[in-house]
Order: sequence, then structure tokens, then C-alpha cells
Amino acid sequence: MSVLEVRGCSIRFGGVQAARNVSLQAGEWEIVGVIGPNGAGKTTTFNIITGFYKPNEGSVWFKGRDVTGLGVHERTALGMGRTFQNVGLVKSATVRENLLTAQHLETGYSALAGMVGLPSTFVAERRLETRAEALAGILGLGDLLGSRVAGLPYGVLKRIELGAVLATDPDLLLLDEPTSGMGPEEAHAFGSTLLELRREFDLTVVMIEHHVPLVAQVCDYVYCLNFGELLAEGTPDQVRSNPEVIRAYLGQEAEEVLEAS
Amino acid sequence: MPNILASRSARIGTAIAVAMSAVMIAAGQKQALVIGVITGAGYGLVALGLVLIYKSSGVFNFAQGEFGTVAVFALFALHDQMGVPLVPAMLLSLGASALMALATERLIIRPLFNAPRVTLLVATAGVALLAISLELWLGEARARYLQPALGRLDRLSIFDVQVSDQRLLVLAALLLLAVLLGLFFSRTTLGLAILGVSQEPVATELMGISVKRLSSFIWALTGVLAGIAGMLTAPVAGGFTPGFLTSTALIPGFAAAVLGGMTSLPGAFVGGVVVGVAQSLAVSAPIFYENIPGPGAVMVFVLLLVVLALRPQGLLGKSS
Amino acid sequence: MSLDARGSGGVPQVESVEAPPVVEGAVAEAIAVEHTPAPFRPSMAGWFVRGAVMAAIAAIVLLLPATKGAVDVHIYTQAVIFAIIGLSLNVLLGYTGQISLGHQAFVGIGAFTSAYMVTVHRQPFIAGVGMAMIIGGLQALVLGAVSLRITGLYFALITLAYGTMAEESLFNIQSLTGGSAGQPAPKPAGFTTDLRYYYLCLAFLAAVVWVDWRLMRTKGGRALSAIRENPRVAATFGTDVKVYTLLAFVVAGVFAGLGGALLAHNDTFVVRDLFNFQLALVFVIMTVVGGLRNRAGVVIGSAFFGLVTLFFEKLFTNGLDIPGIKLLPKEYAAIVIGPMLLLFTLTRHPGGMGQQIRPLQRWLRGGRFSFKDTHDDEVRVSDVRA
Repeated sequence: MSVLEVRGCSIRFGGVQAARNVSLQAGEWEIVGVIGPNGAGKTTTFNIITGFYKPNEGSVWFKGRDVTGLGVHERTALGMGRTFQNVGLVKSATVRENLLTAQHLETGYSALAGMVGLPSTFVAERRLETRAEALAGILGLGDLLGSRVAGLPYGVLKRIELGAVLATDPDLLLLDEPTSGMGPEEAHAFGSTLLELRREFDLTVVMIEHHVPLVAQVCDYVYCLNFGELLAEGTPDQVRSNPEVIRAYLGQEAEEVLEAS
Repeated sequence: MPNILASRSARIGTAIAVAMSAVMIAAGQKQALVIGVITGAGYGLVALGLVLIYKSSGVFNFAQGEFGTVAVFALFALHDQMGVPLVPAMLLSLGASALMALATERLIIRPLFNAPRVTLLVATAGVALLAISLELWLGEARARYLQPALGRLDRLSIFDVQVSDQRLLVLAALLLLAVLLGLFFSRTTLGLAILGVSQEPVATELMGISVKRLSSFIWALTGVLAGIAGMLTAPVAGGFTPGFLTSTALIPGFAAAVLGGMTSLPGAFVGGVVVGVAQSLAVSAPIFYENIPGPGAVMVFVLLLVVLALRPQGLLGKSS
Repeated sequence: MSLDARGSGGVPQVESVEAPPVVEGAVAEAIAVEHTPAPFRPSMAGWFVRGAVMAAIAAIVLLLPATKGAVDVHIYTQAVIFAIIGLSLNVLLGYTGQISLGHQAFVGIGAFTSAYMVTVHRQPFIAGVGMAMIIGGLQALVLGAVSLRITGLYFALITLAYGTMAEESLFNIQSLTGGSAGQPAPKPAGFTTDLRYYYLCLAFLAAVVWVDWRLMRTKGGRALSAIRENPRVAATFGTDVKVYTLLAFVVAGVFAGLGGALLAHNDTFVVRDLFNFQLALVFVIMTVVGGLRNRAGVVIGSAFFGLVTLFFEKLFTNGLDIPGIKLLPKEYAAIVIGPMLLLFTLTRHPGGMGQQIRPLQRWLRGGRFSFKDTHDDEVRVSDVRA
């Protein structure tokens, strides 16, 4: 049974068709890659999946259920977690506060109870803190819990964001360019981390990526988008050697060079 | 100047105004209608200044009303109390409001230029409060009366309604100003530069136009506009008190500007008239004034709410 | 397998993931920036001094009013009520980033509701206050619903128009508000003296501070902060942005309604002329000058504005006398000083009073006393969404 199914989604903004008939699937515990040149509609597709956009056509199915009409927070409640290209965190808050905020759905008490200050909320808060500390520990952020997010290095921010997403207890992880700004070694290391996290947390992953070796390293299946449409799909090797894909990325000349060599 | 009736939205706005007018005439409320148009003209003047500043610096200027009130206080002090002849007194008063606007721009707007727009809004509101408090302190809380510029009343009649010269003056002044400003922004280099500043400050600067000087000019101009609005409407409003232009014309002025989409000068004009007539309708219709106290304020609130909720870009503005 | 506790002591037994060397380097770098040596602990003498300072503050708040006459105490009570109102506005402006330039309407509605309940319906004080809080919350809810549709600067306009409408229309409804004559609002039985009423209001303030504290320490407050800064992130973290925005309005409305009711009974009479544009701005000013999102700052800033007429009176009997220019009547003290402080705060010290007392706060909590302020990004009216 597939965890995520995008069925023929299209969306138009003004005169621009940002996505046209995009379909993709992710099966349980798969790591699926979404690649394509800039502006191909990858983040747009993510926004449709997570609920920031409502598609003009098509539907999104999550764990066998049509979620196309649900709001972003409702999809998070169902188990969708998502990271952003420019790091989605509450920058003015500390790392700890971010990890606590991300546990919004896990608190076990209502906002009202929290405001009034019922004794159970104090206990619940302690539990949330422990969980936050554990998450921080796993990602090597233990010493940074009290630090304000703004001003921390970019790579660290990405890890905090990952921690926050994990705090929402997701089944599906949607990562938008998680290795942007990383060199090849870091990206490779991230790949190993991702495989570990998948194992530890029973995750299915869909990730937008530009690092081709990383995609080859971890992805079970790859979709390539271009101009808002699905260009090719298959295993990493299949997609990598697909001439259409190469042309999309590198242009006509490169393909001719490859043919000549 | 672009034909203001050319766009569909302008036609909608004018149609609404005409419809409301027809209702009022049919209901025998011609007096109220004419007053509404003229009060609306005053709102339009205030709205012009608001739109100017919004177009050039993206600020909602809550001190706009006070620029006008200050001019009125100055005029009273100079002409009615100190006996300075009328025309020099008026010019000096306009100078006072221009000065206040310039001071606001220099001391408040510039330092906060990179702050979010809401900070600036709160800051201009602070300026307004300061002005009101100084007026209360140095002036008095009670109402004072400004001699109308033209003494002879009831010289002309429109639709069988006696209209005082003062009111005609307001209407004529607004129309003239609207036309002049329209020409200014579309034909003169300075006007075009001002429009350029609001869209591309860096490019404007690179073309050798001092953005800072332009900004000062715009604010001074706005101060003058507000001053004219105050001086024209105070004599017919039946008295002026500290902060009167803020309490009577600021929100309707904003409503007028919003109706014009915050970016259209002719839109502010049409918007002002619409607000004035709508308010007059509310005040004169028995259904309203018998059941709801303060119908004018309610009408403006509802108007603002409806326009912003349905068509955030206003009647004449462009879709963003 | 999830993160929740299995195994011993509630500490999850998760296989530790080895942080790759390159990543570790970045972390070490970050640590070097933030890590401080062993935490500072005050000595016994240090704690004693801190305790003495806190006792002194408590003494001033609790005991000083008992030594003063009724007129002075009346103003102290006003300061306490202003603190409640400031905290209510802070929930909207500070925590959630929603502008409210019509807050005098929230307060006025609370005041008139309580007066109406007590005078016209002959209900006890507690019913008046309760109703004021309910109505305050409801009208704020309506405004909150509007804010979901109309945002930023335009919403600010709406709140201003709303305040004006309340002033000119709502508060003129003869049957509800007594029209221009106003409505009586006697003090509650058992608290008829100014001093007793002061302590009652202080108790209410303590309750409001408690709720505010718990709000910000639990999911509700965290949700509001996230919404203020980045609603998309808040939604991704599972927060229903619409519901929590409305919650913020309701909380602000309830506190403001409470403040209004207490204000009405403090003056024993409510008149509509009090709730004008100037008051709305004074409320915004006292919250911003106090320091947005800073509870202690807001309380101090608001109290300051509540007391300012008193200060003026003490400093310059019957007004400020500048030779050659008119006396500044003490009634106008707030609206003359207010804007000046506001503009000063916005341009020079965005953190307001709260930022200035932060060293003192840290010291009282057991830290070292230093003027170094590390939270310069803390407060800006900036974070208000526009």
C-alpha cells in the first residue's frame, strides 16, 4: 500500500501552469527522490502535497485517504512532516522552544488547560522537554538547546529543522533540498543519517534533491519534473541515464557531447 | 490626465455614487446629498494626501488629519486672534502644516524607514496624538469658530438647494487639485519621478534624482493638501476643536483612499465622494438615525469592512 | 518505533546516530560561540540581597497604599487596571503580532457591560465582571474573524474604524450606556473602600499574570509566537492558525473586558467620553513603551501611564508651569509624554522599559548583574504582521 499518492495534480497561477498532471507515489519505507531543474515545479508539488496549495485538478492521497481538502495542520496531524528550502523554524525562539512548539499535537492537553495551569499540564510539559532533549541528542544539538535559532550556522539550522519535523511524529517526511549548501562529503554523510533515521523512526521519505550521487545513494525511486510536468521516472540509474533528463538539466549541447564521447 | 472613467472600476464607483444620489433625491434629501458631496470632497482632499504618501513610501500616515488641524489652529491664531490679513495668514498656516509634515518625515519616517510598515503606522499615530495633546494644552478643549473666507451665504443654488459659497469653494478646490495633481503625476518630470520612487527607489537614485529630496517634497505637499482641507472645511463644519480633522475626516479619508485601492489618485477623489454621500445617506435616512446612534461612523465602518473583505484592491485599484 | 520512552527511566533507548565528522565540526563551532563556563551561582549574601530587593518591591506594592489617602489609592488602582489592559493588548500586539488600534472599545464595552449589569439589572459585582469578560471575549472574537480575512495595515484601519464606531455609536445607545449622562457603577459589597478595592484589583492582576505566564509556557503561547513570526511554519508544526489567532483575540478581549469592568467600578461611574482615540493610542503606547512580549515591562509601562497624572501632580502642583506659556494641565500629561516616549522607544530602544530592566530581572533570578543585553532582536513592533 502506498503511503503517498499524488494523482494527476495540476495547478495554475494567473497565466502560469506551475504543475500539470503530476502523479507520483511513495510506498511504505521507500525513499523517493524528486529531481528537476530550477522552476520545474518541485516545491509547488510539495506545497500541493502538504496543503499550502489546493490543486485545480487531481487529488492527494495519504495512507489510503483523500486529503486534498484538508488543511496543512490537519495533514501534519495525520503524519506528514515537511521541511522548507529556506529553513522553516521560529527564528526568534530558542532551539528548545522550536522543538517544543513542534510537539504541538503531542501535548495531551488543551490550550485552555494550559492557560489555566492545571497540574497535569506541568507534568505534560516536563515530558515534552524530555522528548525535545532526546531529539536534540540524536541530532547532535544537545548543547544548543538554549540558543536562539537566529544566528546559528545554516547547516545547524537544517538539523534543527529536521529535529522539529521529527518532533511532530511523522510517518512521511517531505524534505525540500535538505542538502542545499552542503558539499559532497556532507551530503553523503547526510545520506547515511537519513537511512538511519528511516530505520529508527519507520519513515517514508520523499525528497527534492540536486545532489545526484546522494540520490543514487539513498533513493529507491526517482521522479524527474520539468516545466511542471513529469518528465521521467524510475530507479536512480534509469533516470540518470535518460536522455530527456540529461537534456533538461544540461541542455542540447551536453547530450551531443556525451554522444560523441 | 488619464480619462478617469475609462476603467471598469471607475464606472462602478461612479455608478454607485449616482445610484445613491438618485435614492436621496427621490427621498427628498437633496440638501443632505449636496452636503454629502461636499463633505466627501473634503474627505477626498485628505485621501489624496494619504494615497500620495502610501504610493511613495508605503506608509499609512495617521498624522494626516493633524497636519490639517495644525494649519487651522495657525490660521485662527494668525488671522482671528492676531489680525494678520487673510491671504498671508493662510499661506503661513499652510507653511506650518508643511513644516510639521517635513518634521515628521525627517525625525520619524527616515530613521524608521527600514522598519516594518506597522511600526511606522504606530509612529505616525504617535505624532497625531502629540499634536492633539499640544493643541489641547496650548489651545483649549472647547470649540472655536473660524470666519468663513467668503461672507456672503446662499449665493448659488444647485438642485434648488442653497449652497454657501464656502462649500462651493471646497468643491471647486478639490476638483482643481485633482486635475492638477493628475497632470502633475502624468506629465511633469517631478511627478513621474515621484511615481518612480515608489516603485524603484534604487533605479530612481541612480538616475540622479535625490530620493531624499523627493521624499521631503512629497511630505510637504501632503501637509499642504491637508492644510487646505482643514482650512476649507473648518468654517463650514461649524467649529473646530483639537484633533477635529483627525476625528472627523481621517477614517473617512482612509476609507476613500481604500475605495480607490490606495494607489489611485482619481480613485481617492471618487472614493471621497462615495464616502461622503454614503455617510450623508446614513445620517439623513430615518431608518438609520432613529435606530442607530452615530450612523455616520457605522456607515463608514461597514463600508470599509465590505470593500476590504470583498475587493481588497478597492474600486479603482489594480488587482495585485 | 518512535521517540517516546521505552526502557528505563523515560529516556528513550534509541541507537545513537553517529554525527559525521564534518557536521561535528560545524556543531563545535556553534558551541564555541554560545558555550559559557560553569554557571554562575550567587552566594548566601547574594541571595539575601536579592531577597531584600524583592521584599522591598512587595512592600511598596502591598503596603504603601495603606498609608495613603483615598484619592491617591484610587490612582494606584488605576495603575493596576492599566496593567491588566496592557497585558491584554500585549497578547494581541506582542505575542500574536496583530495590531489593535481600537482597544479602547474592548475596554469600554467591558466597562459599560458591567455597569449595565449592576445598575440596570441589579446583579452583583461578580456577575457584572463575568458578563464584561464574556462580552469582551465575544466582540473580540468577531474582530478576530475579520482579521482572518483582512490583514496587516488594512486590519489596523478596521480596528481604528471599529473604535470610532464604538465611541460614536455603541456607547451612545441610551438604554445600554446611559447616553451622555453615563452609567453608575458602584463598588462591590465588602470592597467599598478604595483601599480594599485596590487589593481586589491587585488580586485580579495576579490572576491575569498567572494565566499570561501559563499561556506562554504551554502550547498556546508557543503557537501564538510561531503564528506571529511564520504562520506557514506554525501550520507545519501542527498548529491550526485560524483557531489560535481567534484564541488570541478572545483572551485579549476577556482581559480587556475585565479591565474595563474594574475601571468602571473604580470610578464608580462610566462616561462614554473616556473611550476615545486618545485612549486607544495611550494603550498602544504603554504596551510598546513597556516592551512588547515582556510581561514585567508591560506591567511597569502600563502602571507608569496609569500613575503619570499622579506624578505630575506631585512634581508640579496643579500642572507644569513654563514661564510665558500656559500651564500643562495634569490631565494631559499622559498624552503629551506618551507620544514622546513612544517615538523615543521606536527609534532608539525598541525593547522599551522591559529591555532596560532585563539586567535587573536576570539578577533577581540568580544571575550575575551585567548591563550586557543579548536580546537586541527581542522586540520590534516589527514582528506585527503587515
